[in-house]
Amino acid sequence: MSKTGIDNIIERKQAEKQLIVSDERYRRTLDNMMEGCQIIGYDWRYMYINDAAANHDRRTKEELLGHTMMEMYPGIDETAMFAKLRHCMEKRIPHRMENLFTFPDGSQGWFEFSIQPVPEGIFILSIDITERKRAEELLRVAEQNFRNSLDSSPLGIRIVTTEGKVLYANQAILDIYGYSSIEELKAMPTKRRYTPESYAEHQEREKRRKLGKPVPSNYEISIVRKDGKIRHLGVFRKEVIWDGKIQFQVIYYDMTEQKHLEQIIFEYEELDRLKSDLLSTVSHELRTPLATIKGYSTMLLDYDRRLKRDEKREHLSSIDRATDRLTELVDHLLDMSRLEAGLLKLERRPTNFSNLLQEVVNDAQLRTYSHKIVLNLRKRLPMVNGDARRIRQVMDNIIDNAIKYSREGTEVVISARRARRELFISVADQGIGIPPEELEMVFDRMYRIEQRLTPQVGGVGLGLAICKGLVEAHGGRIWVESKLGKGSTFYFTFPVDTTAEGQYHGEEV
Amino acid sequence: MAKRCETKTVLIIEDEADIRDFACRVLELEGYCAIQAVDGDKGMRLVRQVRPSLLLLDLRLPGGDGWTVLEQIKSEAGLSAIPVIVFTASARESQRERALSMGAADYLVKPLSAASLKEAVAQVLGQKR
Repeated sequence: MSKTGIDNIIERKQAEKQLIVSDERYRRTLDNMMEGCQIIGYDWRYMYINDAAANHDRRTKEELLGHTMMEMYPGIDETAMFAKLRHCMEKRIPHRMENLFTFPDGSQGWFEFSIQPVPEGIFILSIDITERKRAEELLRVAEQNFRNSLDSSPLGIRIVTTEGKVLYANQAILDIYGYSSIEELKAMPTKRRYTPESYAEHQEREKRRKLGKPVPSNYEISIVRKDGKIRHLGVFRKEVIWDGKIQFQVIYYDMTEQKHLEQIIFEYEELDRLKSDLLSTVSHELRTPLATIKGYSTMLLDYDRRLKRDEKREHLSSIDRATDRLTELVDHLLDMSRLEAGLLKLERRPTNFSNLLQEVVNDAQLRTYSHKIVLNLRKRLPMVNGDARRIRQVMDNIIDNAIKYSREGTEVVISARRARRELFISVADQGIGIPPEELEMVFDRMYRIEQRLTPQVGGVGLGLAICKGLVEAHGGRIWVESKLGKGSTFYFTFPVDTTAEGQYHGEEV
Repeated sequence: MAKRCETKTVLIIEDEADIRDFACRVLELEGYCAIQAVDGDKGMRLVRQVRPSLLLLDLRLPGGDGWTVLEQIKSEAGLSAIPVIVFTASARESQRERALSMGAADYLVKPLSAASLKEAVAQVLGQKR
């Protein structure tokens, strides 16, 4: 079925009418829009303008309509914005732009423009973005202030991404690390910026972070500066917004001095504690022989007539032994304090060590029936320029210890040999041994092997500390090797007197 | 070394041989029956076996120190009545207070004369009577 010509005409008229109606509807929509809408003709005259646009232009619709842009805003055709309008007008290409507009009254406003070619010319949609721009500017200034404050902060500050990439580092951090530029700092591998222990902790933190496990936001690290010096830093890490993204702000504060002071305070307290321990031990060790002396002497006085001659003699020898013990204690205390004050004077003379050792071993054997003292000496020993009395004191002390801490019937073996420019002496026992974790403390003053193992052994614990002091005063070394339950071997060395060798000694090793 | 005694028995727990012998001898001369032990464990065994009239106790001892012995005696119903005199080389006031608060009858600091030991023992045993 085909349509008649009249039908066609009616249809067209209806469509035109509808178009007018629809045009009218669109126009009302444009009139009421919040955005500014204007149509500029090819001759740059305002053809349509809504209330919002008139408001943006700071003019009334009546003032603008029918006039050219150049009439309304003299010089506008010189502006960059106008160049875009012209481009759109001539080339029919849409544009979008933001522009700061200065009005004839001198006031300014930021506008976003969307320019679209339309059959009549161009259509300009304008949005007043002055408030947004102001807020952005405030934010920018705030961020700039924030960055300035970071730049001049005495604390080291870095901004890093979650992956650890450094976005920012301030001057203070360069000062802490001793580098002159951030590039130089970045170029140094992370591993070399930490001490080994601190690097291990760093890796552990990174591992936890990658696994999403909680990582403390406040921790301490030890870094190696460019000059190789070690500094201790406190680190505080928190999330911040940086360039619109969540990043980490890491603050570093140097606590090396603080740590140093803490260490000094700790050492002082430790010294204080040691002093008080020493005093209490010394007091106990003094009172014990004094108790023997006081007890037996008063007993001898009070019960004189009731005691037999033999018993009296026995008590008198107890008193005698107790005074020896007191004397030894006083000697030890004096030696220790002289050694610590550096006031101990050695009377050094070229000493024949072979003879000295033989005498020491003979004397030691006289002091004990319960142990065998063995001297294992294959060759003659070189001369040592030393204080024979002090060397003997060291030997006696170590041999007596060996006897004290080993079972009856066992051997204590003393060996000596020369190695290069040192004389090595060892004293080996088959005693209870020293627990590995205590080996290093053996030569500390006041050290005594755990009471549990040797409650019957008395003493203040100064003997080995004095031995160490005396050996070191001779320029030698002293150490111990031990197996728990198997025995200990004490080693010490004395430098060989090479200048004296030819002079005093012919036969050699 | 328990012995049969007609008079009061005093047990001395002390690791230093000279001091142990001294105390024993003085108490024997004073007519007591004195027995001795060298460490805490042996001492406790004798306490249970002999039930002495008095215990003279050193604090720093091998094998269960004097504090442990004092605590055991004072906490055991059958033994708590035995008076304990602490005889020690530690002159610290805090230790004296601790020992007395734990039930020690007296706290004697070394060194001590024969007469002082004799008087202290006589006084504690006299009080008890």
